[in-house]
Amino acid sequence: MSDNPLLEPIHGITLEDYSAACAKMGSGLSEADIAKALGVEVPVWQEANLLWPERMKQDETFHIVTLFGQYFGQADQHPKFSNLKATVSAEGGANTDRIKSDKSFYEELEVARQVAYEYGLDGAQWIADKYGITLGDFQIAASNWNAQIHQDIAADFDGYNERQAAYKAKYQQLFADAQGGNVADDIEF
Amino acid sequence: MFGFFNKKYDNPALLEEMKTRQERWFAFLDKLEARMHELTTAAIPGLQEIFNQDADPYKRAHSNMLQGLLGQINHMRQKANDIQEEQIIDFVYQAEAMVPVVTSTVGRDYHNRIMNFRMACLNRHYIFDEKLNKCMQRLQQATGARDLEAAYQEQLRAFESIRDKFSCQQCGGNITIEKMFFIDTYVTCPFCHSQNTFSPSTGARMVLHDARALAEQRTAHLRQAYEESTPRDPEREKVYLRAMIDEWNKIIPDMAEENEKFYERLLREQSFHHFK
Repeated sequence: MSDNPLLEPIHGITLEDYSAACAKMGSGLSEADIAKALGVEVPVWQEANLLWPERMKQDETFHIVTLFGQYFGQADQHPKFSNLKATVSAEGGANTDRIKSDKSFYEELEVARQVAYEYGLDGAQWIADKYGITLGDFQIAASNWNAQIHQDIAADFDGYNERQAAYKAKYQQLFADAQGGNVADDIEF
Repeated sequence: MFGFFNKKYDNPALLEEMKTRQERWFAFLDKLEARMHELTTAAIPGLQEIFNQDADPYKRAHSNMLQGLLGQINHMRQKANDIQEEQIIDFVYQAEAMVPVVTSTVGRDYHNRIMNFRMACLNRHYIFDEKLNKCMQRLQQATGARDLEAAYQEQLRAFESIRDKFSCQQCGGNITIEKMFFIDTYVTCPFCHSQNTFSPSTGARMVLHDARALAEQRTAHLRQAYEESTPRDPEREKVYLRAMIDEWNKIIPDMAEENEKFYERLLREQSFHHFK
């Protein structure tokens, strides 16, 4: 048990519980589902949901928020949530599994999401509509791949940038085509 | 002594190429500027309309439209950067390699001309970039800040109008909600003492979400006074932070204890940053 008072459970809800709950809410579970899984009523969950971010704000070492990210990425292994999944299509389920096991797939969709925003689309919604991957599952994948991607960048910075540029060009073309081109496509040197 | 290094070097084709290239570069940026000005001017009324009509408290439709417009402006920036790299910078390197060395008398004149070409093109690009940033700023500021005070006051009025209109789910007795709540909260029936769950409206929940931003709006003059002090005056920052937290506490009294802990953190960070 940590002696850090900021890590004390709130109404019995630990930081592990809270982090996994946030991930699962992002995956489509309701507050009622979350509260039930945690064995509390909705008002109790909502107060914990209000107070855990306050703990993060108070923590100048960023320890709480770092742990939150770590536990968020492990939400699928949390015993209270491991069997609790929002209803998704078979294809969405397969893509969700893939983004957590295929780093290139995650990297490509991360770029696609950013480019979608640049073209005025809700990138997270675009991923959900096209691939059936919820924001919560996307963030879990992001959290899980984060360390590996940092290692890749350190090992081969140019290679990483080239892959990113290629994905970016691909999705810029895709979104521009869907919108009839960019507004300055006809201006040439 | 034989005048080898003063021998006349003449390359009219290079001079003509620089002249043409500079004119094309200027014309290219003129066209991009005209297009981005046209886009910005045409988009601002639409941005304002969507912002004002969007009932979504997070204004996501407006945000998506703004991101799309900024994306197009950034696309123009990228296009100009790419062309500058390919058609100006690379050309300068090639031209410099072609003419006699700068230390020779014959090469100096050409190097100066290449330098002038380079500076003229880069300066023009700098002006383009400044204009581009102004367009982005116009788009970002088209709607101004949300009037959080008006939204808050509206929620206070809404609460006053409903606070006496609840009845106990157990005994049917009349329940008065003693204060504004921002999350689901247990309310005890004064008659049968059973617990009822009070669920605030979406608007009331947004008060909690917007509370800090509203407190910042209310104390913006103090923040400005701090930011305009030279060098930055830590005492003015303290005055601003205290006032902002006080306003925050007034809006959400139930969060005062947590806000004070956050304030303590801000003060510790403030001491650290000013010490640096």
